[in-house]
Amino acid sequence: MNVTRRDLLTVAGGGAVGILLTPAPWKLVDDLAIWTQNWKWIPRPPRGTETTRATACALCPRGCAVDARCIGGLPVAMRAAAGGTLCPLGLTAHHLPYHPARLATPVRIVHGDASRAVSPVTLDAIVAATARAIGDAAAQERDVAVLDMRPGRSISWAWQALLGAMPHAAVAAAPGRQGASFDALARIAGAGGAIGADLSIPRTILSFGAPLAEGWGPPAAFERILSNDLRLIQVEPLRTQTAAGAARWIPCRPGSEALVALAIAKALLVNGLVDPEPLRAAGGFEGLHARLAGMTSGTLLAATSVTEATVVAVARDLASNRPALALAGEQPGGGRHAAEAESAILALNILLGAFESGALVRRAELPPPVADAQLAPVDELERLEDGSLALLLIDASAGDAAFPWPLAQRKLAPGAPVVALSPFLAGTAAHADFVVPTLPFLEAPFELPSSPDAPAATLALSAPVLLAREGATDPAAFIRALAQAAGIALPGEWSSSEELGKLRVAAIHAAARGSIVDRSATVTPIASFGSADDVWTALTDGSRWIDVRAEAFSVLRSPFSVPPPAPGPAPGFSTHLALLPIAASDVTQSAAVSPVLTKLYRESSLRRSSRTVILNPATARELSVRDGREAILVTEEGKARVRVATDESVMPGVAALVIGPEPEALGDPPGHARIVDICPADANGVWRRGTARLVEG
Amino acid sequence: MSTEARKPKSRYGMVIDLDRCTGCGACSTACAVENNVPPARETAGDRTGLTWMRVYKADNGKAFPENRTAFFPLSCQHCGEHTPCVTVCPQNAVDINPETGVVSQIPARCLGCRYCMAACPYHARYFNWFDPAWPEGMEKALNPDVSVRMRGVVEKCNFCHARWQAAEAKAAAAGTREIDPADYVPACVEACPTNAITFGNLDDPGTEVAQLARSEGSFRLLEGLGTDSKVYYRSEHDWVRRLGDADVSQLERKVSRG
Repeated sequence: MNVTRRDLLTVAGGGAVGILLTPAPWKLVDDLAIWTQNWKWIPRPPRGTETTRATACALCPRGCAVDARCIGGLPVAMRAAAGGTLCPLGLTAHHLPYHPARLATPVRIVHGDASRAVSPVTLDAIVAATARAIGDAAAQERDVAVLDMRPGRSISWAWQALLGAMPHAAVAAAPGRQGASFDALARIAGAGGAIGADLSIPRTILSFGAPLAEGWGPPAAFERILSNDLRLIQVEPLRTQTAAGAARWIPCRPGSEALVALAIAKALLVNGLVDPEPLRAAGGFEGLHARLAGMTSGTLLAATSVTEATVVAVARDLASNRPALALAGEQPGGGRHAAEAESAILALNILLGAFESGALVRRAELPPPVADAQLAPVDELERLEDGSLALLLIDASAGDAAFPWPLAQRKLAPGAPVVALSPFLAGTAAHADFVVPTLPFLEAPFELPSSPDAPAATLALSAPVLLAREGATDPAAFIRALAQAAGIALPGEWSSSEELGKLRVAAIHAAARGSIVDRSATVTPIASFGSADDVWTALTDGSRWIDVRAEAFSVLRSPFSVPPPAPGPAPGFSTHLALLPIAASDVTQSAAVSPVLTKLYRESSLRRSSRTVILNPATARELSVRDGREAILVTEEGKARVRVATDESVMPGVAALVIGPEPEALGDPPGHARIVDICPADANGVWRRGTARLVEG
Repeated sequence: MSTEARKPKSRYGMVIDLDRCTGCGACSTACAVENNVPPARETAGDRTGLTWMRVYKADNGKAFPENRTAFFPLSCQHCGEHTPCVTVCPQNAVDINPETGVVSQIPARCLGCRYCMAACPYHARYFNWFDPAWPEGMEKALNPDVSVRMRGVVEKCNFCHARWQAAEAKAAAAGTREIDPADYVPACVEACPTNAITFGNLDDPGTEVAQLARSEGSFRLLEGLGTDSKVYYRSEHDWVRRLGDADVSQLERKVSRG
């Protein structure tokens, strides 16, 4: 039989068709798919025994109770303890010990014009340089300051004790931190301690920008708002998430909150809706009247964009839905209100009886680890004299805050060194000359003192879950080494944060005040605990100490006045936009955030990225800038390339500048300077109401 | 096979109350952590990112100050009878779990043809354009219950399938086939701080999710397509409910517009 070419082709073709009818090619395709999905470089999740460790999130002052799910001793998930929830930062907290910006050794940073050179250095060298700067400051009669990002901790007390031995020294609380507005309220009211709020008491809250839906204040408060159990009136220039959830949103021009508060106070008084006597007794009546003089409905509308009818309606709303409370919340990216707004809001609270109702209470301070020690005073950074600091120490070991660096820089004398303690080479620490690495959350015990708005003093502990990585320094050990090098005797016997914490717990136990509340809400009086060690053990197991609640107070110790408005931009600086820095609350609390937050910032448009300017479409048209395009933002502090976004929820004439996590904070290589640094801060340290211009570019 | 025979034992679904959603992003973040969804590369954007649960921001189109916004958490809608992605997959890499009614994606079978992405009217499927990568060491923080997917495959929400498996194993250990509803809660539901998401068996009339799904104000996205999706939304506002008929790309355009 002859085999022709046709036969060969028929067999080949038939074979090709026939093989498609067998599983072989399909199996090959399947296997190829599987092989190509299992390369050796694909990350492998950990394996091991599953355990759950109770701790508390130390990434913000709120200190939410957390159950860390661990595999082989490594945390793989952070879950809120029963009944709670976590913010995106808290949900990803277990990523932070592996963050690319984590420091392994102490470093020296040499800052260039547009770059920085980072080189390793020994801890001894940093201690010696810092001690030398302390000696020079004493010789030159210059100041030394510590910028404390999380005031109220035992470590904060240790800094005060260290600086207490120096003739010119102060501990400054970080500008823009959570609770700065409550501290301001306490200072203006002369409360002689901290002021807290009990948000379960008021039926109505008049909030001047407090981001209640965005991580500010207890979550239960916003839950009450959503359930219509608490009436929220939100005054702010943007329709934020909080404003969207409020019963009433009153858009006002940035920086005009004081006038709105004063106008509401006037409406309350003129319409006989409140008793003026408490304000008269507080000594603030004359100041209020002085500022109200000459205010007409026309001037009010021009300055605030709020009509008199709206103001009267709000006043009637507040008077008929008491107890009422006025809140002066700080914007996480923009910091506190101006002093005049804080004073006006205090006047409103006095008129509304917020102190008598217990909505605002004087809170006792936590006991110090060692009694009767000589301590340096605690002040606000902006109140320190410009050019006065011969040394600035930054304690960012327990968190960070977003504020313009020029605000701190102008306090420094020429050539003054800056030494930072931080787990990460990011955030504020990136401005320092020396950075001492500290342990991040989950690798060290963290003390969680009273959250800024708490009505009673509280103390919780964040127990470590991971083994500490080598190379980090305990801030308490650094303070001890520094004291030794500078020849300063510190009060008490301690050399670590844990020992300091135990001393404070011993002081709480000795005072026999308050109770321990465990995870199941069982309350045990502190007096029932046999020893301070038992209290410490309870706290490390996830319990919380809560002090007895302070009594409401109504008598202010010193008269206050409503100061005049701060001056506008510098003469000759032409602007056409009100600059409003904004940020989500969680990401401003930590210098580094999980790269997974790109889901919110880069992979979707849920949260705008840093360096985005949001404008009303009408404003964008006026300025000839377009959505999605780049432009140059110019302020008194500098200029930066930004991306323009348009949104009808922004008031015309306002530029909302997003202070989100910088790419470096998300884990990308170091880039340009932080955008918050170009926000101009006035002499009182307020940067939430700046001015700017936007040009095509 | 008859329709009755294909009917799943349970029909898990969720109801999302848009009036309670504040757009905090906790659901998106919790989902990414639970399911080992890698972070974006520097070059990745909203078109190449992986967001099993993406929250869109939509507005009522009015000018300031009448403008109103709503946040739309959007994951796979877990279609019922006529699931477009199941129909088009040449590899049987997509199927409907007969136990739960959940539309599953099987990455090991996926060839990356992306037919399913083209077919999905909700834009809820994502393609792995890059190798999954976390910063060095961060793989120690991954969830061991969920496999990491490789470049070249499609992935999407599966109502936290690993949690369902764990709940089923727990029920089996207790000698029952009935899962305790408290044991099977997807990560997004667990993380929502305002309790905007309710989850459960839509076929059990006694569950809150079933009652909410049938209540006034509830709607489904693109209901006219007849996909019989198992994710319901609810709102008291007409303009929000009308967004249910909008193409998802319209929501996206609103987002890019701001």
